[in-house]
Amino acid sequence: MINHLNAAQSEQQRQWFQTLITHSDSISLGQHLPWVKHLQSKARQELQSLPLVQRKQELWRYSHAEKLFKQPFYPQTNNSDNCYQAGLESEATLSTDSFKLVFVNGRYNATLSSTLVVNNELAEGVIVGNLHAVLQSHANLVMQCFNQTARQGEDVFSALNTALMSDGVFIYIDQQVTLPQPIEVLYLSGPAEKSSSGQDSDSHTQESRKMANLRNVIILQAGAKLSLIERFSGEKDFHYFNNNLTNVVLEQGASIKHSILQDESNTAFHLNSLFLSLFKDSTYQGQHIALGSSWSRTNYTAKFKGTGATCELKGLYTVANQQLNDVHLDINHAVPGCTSSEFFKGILYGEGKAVFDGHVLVEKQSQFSDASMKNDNLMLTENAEVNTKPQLEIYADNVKCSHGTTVGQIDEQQLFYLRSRGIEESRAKKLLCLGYASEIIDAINEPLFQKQVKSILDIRLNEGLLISSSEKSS
Amino acid sequence: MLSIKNLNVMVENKLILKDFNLSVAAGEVHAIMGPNGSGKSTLAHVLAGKEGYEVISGEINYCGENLLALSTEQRAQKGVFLAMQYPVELPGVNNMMFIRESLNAISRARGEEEYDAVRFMKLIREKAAAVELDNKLLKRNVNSGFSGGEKKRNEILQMAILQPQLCILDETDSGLDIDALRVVAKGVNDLRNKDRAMIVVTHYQRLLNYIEPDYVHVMIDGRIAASGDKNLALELEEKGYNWLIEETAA
Repeated sequence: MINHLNAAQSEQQRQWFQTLITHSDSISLGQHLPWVKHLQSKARQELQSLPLVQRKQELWRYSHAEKLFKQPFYPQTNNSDNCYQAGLESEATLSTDSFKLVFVNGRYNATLSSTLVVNNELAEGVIVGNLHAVLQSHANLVMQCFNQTARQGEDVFSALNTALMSDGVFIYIDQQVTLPQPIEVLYLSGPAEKSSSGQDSDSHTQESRKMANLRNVIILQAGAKLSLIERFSGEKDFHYFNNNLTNVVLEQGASIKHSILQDESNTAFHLNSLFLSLFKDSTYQGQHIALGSSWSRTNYTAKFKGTGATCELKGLYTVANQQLNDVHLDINHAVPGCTSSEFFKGILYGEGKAVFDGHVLVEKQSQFSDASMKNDNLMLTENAEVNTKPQLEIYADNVKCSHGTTVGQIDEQQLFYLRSRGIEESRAKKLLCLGYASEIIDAINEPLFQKQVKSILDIRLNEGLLISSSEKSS
Repeated sequence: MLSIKNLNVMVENKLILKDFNLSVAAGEVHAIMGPNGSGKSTLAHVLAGKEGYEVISGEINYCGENLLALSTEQRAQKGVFLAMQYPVELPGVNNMMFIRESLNAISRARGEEEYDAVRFMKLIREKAAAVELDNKLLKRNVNSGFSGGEKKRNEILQMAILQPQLCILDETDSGLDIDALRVVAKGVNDLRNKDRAMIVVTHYQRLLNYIEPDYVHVMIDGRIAASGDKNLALELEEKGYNWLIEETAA
């Protein structure tokens, strides 16, 4: 394992960032606003001084980020129409009555999004829209919210997101307002030019691998309630990079259910950084289902800023050959009397790789903290690999904390039981995997989202188990 | 239906079945008795195709086929059923869904029509009532939080639904109180007919008061030491296994 980059690798990585910066002029988000320009140019400067991505950093030790830098990406802009339409209508529908915001290849698509969302007429005290539009209509509010969340995250990809942000989701919910339906955000990716004659364009895709940098800001004022569903979906073999950054601020007593389904293309890069600020008695209930992508990383950074708040994360990931899924959790009990629990389960097959790196910090003053962190992994093949490290760092003396991790295989007794009832081996394994995943899936409290997760998980398990069974017979 | 000839089986490098022979015809019920460690459960597992049992030599013919050449699931599809001594829990796997998967896997393999939800519900309700299994247990995960008796009744329920040709009951009576034993035995007796064969593995004679065998075999040290009718079981109840063990050793 190479811990240090050699000169050529360092140069390659610098070039990689430089290419993106050089081509960022065409991004026009909020360029009429001095504070936006300032924010972005400051981030560009920071990019120069932040350390490069390498394994000697604990943050990147097992993440195999090298393959990301092997080819250049160009920033996705927000000012041209996108012609990718294939199958979008069906993709775009979860339910007819949810409020939808749809992004196609990193660009907001008004046609596919709900009219109400576009017009900011959802409900009294609710402002929802794509960042680009809300910057036109509510520039001061957006500025205040940005100041509140400001820059978070000291890593290059957060800085890159700020430097290159081209659009995103803006949600502001006033005090005591509850949205009756979920807000659903879809990020769809696919080839921009679908030529019917079939003469597209390997040469084209080589040159135009796009990176989308969407910035989401979600502010719930005191007592506000929201259910938010985000879904990333990409067309098979399409190359792109989604680098999302989301700030969530929950004021006193606010609560959010936040479900994320990452089902990106098999050749996609995906990085999602979430920064959560939890004030007194607020509740964050997160579900994270990661089934797609070639390389996927999710960072949750949660900071308790008021007592009595709760942060609960449940996650499921599957990785097959050529896939890496990385979960980084950073939970900070900076005040007393808060509850955090994180539970992630993984299913790994082929040569799939997973990383779980969780860190809970309980500061000295944070008595009566309740923290638990758990990561379980089910390995279906010998060549799958997981690096898992749930950590507790506790400075207070009157707390309840636990952490644990397991790595196991399919139980032979259970498998025999199913097979002895006439169920084929691969099918039996699938039933056991579904049973294993059910602890996470059954906890999803949006029925339509749950149904969708189930159907995609079903497809992924079929693919994954087919690979392992053909390996076995050959 | 079943013919086992000179079967030698090793488990973890130890010879457990030694030149074992047994013939079972359709319609017959054979009880296999014997002390702990005599190879009764090994026999049941080898018939069902469990991994970890190494067949050194010998053959098993089942309905004209070489049983040893079939995978575990193929055996089940062709009508071999093992009611387990210790049915495992399947976390997150719904019991009703599991039984339907099983029934349909077997139907598919036989080229028969699969059961749709309506037809299956009707079937499982009827059979669950017959083995006095609470409908609530159908909705739970397989064997999760089931009592010992409920687990065994769940095994008999599966047997009643799958309608196998060859039923192997591995110590189905262990851990059952008298009421559960009666229910389980009734479930088994309901399945007795002229086309179906049964091998009932048991440690105690008690079960045979409820399931009356045509033949009783006593296994000692990996082979059958004595065979007879149900009176042999009664004799064993009275005298224990020791006289046979001594006889075998002599």
